[in-house]
Amino acid sequence: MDFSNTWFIIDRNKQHEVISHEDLVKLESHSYTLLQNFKSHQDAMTEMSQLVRQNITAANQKINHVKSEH
Amino acid sequence: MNSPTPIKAGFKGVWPDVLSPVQSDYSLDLHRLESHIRTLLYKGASGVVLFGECGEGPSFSYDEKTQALAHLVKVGIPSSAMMLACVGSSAPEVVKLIHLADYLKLHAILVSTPFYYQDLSTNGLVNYFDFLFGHTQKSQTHCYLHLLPNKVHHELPEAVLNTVLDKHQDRIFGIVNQTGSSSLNQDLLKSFAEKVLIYSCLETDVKALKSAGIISAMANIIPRVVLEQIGGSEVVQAIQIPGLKVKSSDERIVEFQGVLAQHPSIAAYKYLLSQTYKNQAWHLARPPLSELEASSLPGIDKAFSAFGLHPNAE
Repeated sequence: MDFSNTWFIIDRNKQHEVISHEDLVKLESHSYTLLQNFKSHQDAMTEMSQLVRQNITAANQKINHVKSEH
Repeated sequence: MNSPTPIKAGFKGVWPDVLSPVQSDYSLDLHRLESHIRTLLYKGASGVVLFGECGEGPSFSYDEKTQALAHLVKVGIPSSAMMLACVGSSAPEVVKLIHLADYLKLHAILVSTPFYYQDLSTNGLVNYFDFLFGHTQKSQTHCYLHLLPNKVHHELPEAVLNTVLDKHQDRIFGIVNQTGSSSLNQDLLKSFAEKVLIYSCLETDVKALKSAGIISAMANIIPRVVLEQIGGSEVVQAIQIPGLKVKSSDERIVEFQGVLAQHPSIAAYKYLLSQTYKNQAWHLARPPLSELEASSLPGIDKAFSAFGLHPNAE
């Protein structure tokens, strides 16, 4: 299967990034964690926005938990 | 004197028994399924098995399976990289699934014994397979007999296997043992190794069986580690402490299998995949299955972290 025109979500420096295959192959292999592959940039961005929303929800829950303890 | 029929070449490489993602309304999440399959193929899987044991096959209707496969083909997942598990109690429904696999030119189908609520006779089981093969005579799709855990499926006795293999040898390319029993592998090898290829779904049995391929649940999470099992090389631990033994992939897989065996397997794999993809949506399973209880999670996390893999070595 040809992945040359596909897109990836990776974790790098504790942040999610959307990156093309062309750019991915230029990275040092241990400098990032590959999460998922997508056919299009739009598909990758849709997943990325969901991940960001989940992170915001998780952060809010942590903040509320800390608030409730004080 | 008749020379024995040569054994057909079967599938090769790692074929994850793909988990089926569902949305909050428990409908199949086609986009997440597509992305999961793409990611597995990128990481070196040769193909995937859809709607098998891990794919919650019995939970999804024929229409849902058709829609999913059509979507995957449409978005460019190669048909030759997909196998369809044909599980059911109704022989005509299973025939429809085989026709579907033919139409889409899938790599292969896995055919198991039917679900049923009483003991099935040898004749009944042989008749079941006769019905399937008789109603799909023009099928070109490779077929594997699929042995599943006997707590939910009837066993396929040796006499039935023998008869079915003899009657339908032109259609059957192998036996896939997904019962979780290593000793059954040895029995199958003794009885049928001269007729068909024997595949185990236990990652640690691959070396002993010298199989060229495996259908693996664990490969949903760690496809590269399973791939190395077939290749005979080792995925080493990222963190090694001088003086302490470095565990082999085999040892780590055995330990991991032991921990997973204490939990509902599909829910455990879905939880791990949600961690791998950092997306909680992967937790969900369609009823009657359910998510793991929160108290189970630390133990599974700890077992998985024991692999100590480098980034992107999973």
